Amino acid sequence: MDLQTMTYCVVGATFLLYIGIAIKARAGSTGEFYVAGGGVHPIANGMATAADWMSAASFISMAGLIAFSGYGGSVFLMGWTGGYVLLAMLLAPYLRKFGKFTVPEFIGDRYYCKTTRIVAVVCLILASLTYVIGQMKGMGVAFSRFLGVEYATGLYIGMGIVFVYAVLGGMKGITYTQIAQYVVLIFAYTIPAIFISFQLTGNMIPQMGLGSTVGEDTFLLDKLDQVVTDLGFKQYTTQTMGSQLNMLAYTLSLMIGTAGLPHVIIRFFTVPSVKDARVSAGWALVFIAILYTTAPSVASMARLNLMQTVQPGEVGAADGNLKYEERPQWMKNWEKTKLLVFEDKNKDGRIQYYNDANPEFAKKAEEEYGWKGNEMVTVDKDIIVLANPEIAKLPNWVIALVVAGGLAAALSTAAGLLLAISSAVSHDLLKCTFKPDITEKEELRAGRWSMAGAIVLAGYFGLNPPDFAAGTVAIAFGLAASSIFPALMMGIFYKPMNREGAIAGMVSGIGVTLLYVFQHKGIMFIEGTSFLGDMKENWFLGITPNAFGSVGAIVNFAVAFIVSNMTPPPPQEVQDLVESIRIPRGSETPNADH
Amino acid sequence: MKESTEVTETSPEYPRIHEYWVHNLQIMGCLLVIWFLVSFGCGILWVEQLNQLTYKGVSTLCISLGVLSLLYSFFLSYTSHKEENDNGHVYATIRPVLWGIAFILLANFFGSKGAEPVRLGGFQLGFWFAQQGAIYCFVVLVFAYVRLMNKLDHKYQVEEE
Repeated sequence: MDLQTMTYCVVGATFLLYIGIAIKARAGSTGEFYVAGGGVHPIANGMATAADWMSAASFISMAGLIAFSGYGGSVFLMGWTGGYVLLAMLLAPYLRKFGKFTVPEFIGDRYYCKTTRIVAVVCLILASLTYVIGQMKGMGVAFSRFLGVEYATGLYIGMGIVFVYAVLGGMKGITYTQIAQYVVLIFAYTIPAIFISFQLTGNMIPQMGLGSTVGEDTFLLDKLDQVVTDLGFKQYTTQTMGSQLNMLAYTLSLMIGTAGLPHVIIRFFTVPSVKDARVSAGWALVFIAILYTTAPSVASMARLNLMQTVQPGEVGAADGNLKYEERPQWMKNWEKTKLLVFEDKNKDGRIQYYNDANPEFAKKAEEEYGWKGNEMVTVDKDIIVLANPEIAKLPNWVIALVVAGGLAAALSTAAGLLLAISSAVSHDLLKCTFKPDITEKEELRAGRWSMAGAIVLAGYFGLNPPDFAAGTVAIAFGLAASSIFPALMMGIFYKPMNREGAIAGMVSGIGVTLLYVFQHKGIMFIEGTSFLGDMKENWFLGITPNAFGSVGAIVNFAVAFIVSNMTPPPPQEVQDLVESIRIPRGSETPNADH
Repeated sequence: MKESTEVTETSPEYPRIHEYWVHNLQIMGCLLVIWFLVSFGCGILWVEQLNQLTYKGVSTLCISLGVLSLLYSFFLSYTSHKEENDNGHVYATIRPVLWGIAFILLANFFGSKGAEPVRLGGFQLGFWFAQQGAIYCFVVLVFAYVRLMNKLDHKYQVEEE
């Protein structure tokens, strides 16, 4: 069977599975729609959380990013896992004890005010929608590339599928589909990694293969350091991402963004008890760690394979480089997508891939080797994971599985985010703020309509993306980190925190972050509207816009603390509420009655 | 965290609940310190020092730890001299001596390996923490938290039915 048919079969089979599960587990009540009736086993919930959490960015982009940024890529590894420690200890058990449906609901009750709730809804929608647009785009690209259709058609297919199972299924359907999606995506990620690790190092376990030897007695990482520095790149194991301060800020921003993203927090409302909420966070982290500890192995092995494919012989030798005519099939395939582009600058019919931005090496290359610049002019980092099985010459079914895995990652995250948006609109805005007399049925319908609306809106931005791929994911984290996380944390741990402090904190935190991102990346990412330019010289203390969420969070904490000390403390019943969520005893299953 | 008596929890159980909360914060604080040390510490702040840490360095570290334990044991035996020497006390003073000897043996072992940097297989130590070790530690931390909190809930009788 050829690759195209195989891909159709595998992707089709997994989709039938998801939709089947979604229809079987259809939600009947608001409780089932929002929090799956509160009866999901903690291990199952951990798996669903992991699928919810690992988006197209984790699955497709991350290993590629690490492959080209070496040690600097650690910020993603530590940032996107370390957040679960915060989530497990600071938020999950207490929010579960609170026992309601949504994050803004907690903020509204804890800060005894509808305005706080609306501010929280706005922050939530901003963060989730920016994130979901990125997923829609990833889905559109994946569908179009592998089903051989245009990008727009791919996007419509993606929208339709998300619509069917998120809108009809609600949380109950999503939870069980996400379990299936986790299984698909983790197999899709680890199987090629195991093959490649075995090929290169003889060790079946990729995590250990990374620390093993290639060939006789050279360690993989030493070899990689050698190979990349020989071509003028920075040493793989010590290359950093900006200054040390920037790496700290970046990691922190991703960590607290993780703990503040509403679609992840909402997951802990679906387990039966406070005890289960704690352990469920642990299981989620285990399931995530399987992928996150494999990713650095995939990254370094792919980089080594890539370097050695292009430069099989000695650097500088006349026949040291790959002949363009003899390039492997996977390169030809990816050239068609324009994500991999070669340009024979010195007209020798061979490909030279080296760091021509390194003046010392570029000079030497030109004078001694006759190289006229880097000839692999475009190599999109996102192709690494998808091309990996082809580079390693793995069988077709593995390649098809990777496609299905990437789609599972994008779909599950998009569905979780849509659910967070729809519950914020129908439950927080309609039912509890503007139209308290609607029936449960009407509320459900409103939830489904707002989900559909969000899909259309995200689809629209996905069709006309103003640079919305990597930038959006970073801003989504920054927004969640600087607005929702501090408000939740202080609500639980700082009893004197009042509504004035919370509102001032959220508004200033998200405001500072948005301003910083927009001033460097353009207003709503539209090119040419950035008034300070995306230049290093203009960065505050050398912190990149992607890492600025941590500064926003610090601003939020500080402003909230100062304002709350100048205004009256919260009323007694709110202080009692805080007291009560601090102990597990007496927790209830969330339900719609107040 | 300032929680004075102004809270209405006039119920007789309040002091116990308050103690539970303080204890909870202590557990959390300790675990978060470890969380910080393994990720921001070993993974970012001291990554270069860890990458360059030699066996000689580890050996020096072990010697200092060994000497400290021995000093501590002298201190213990001096202060507990006047009290009656039951078996528990003897054991308590001997333990640091054993630790001290173990550390010095370890120091000897590492010292014999010379000035080579410490490696975990092919990993430099700092790089390993940043890309592998920190994540494993996170997993252990969350499960440790679950265990400690379940025990604490039970001790203060605040667990769910």
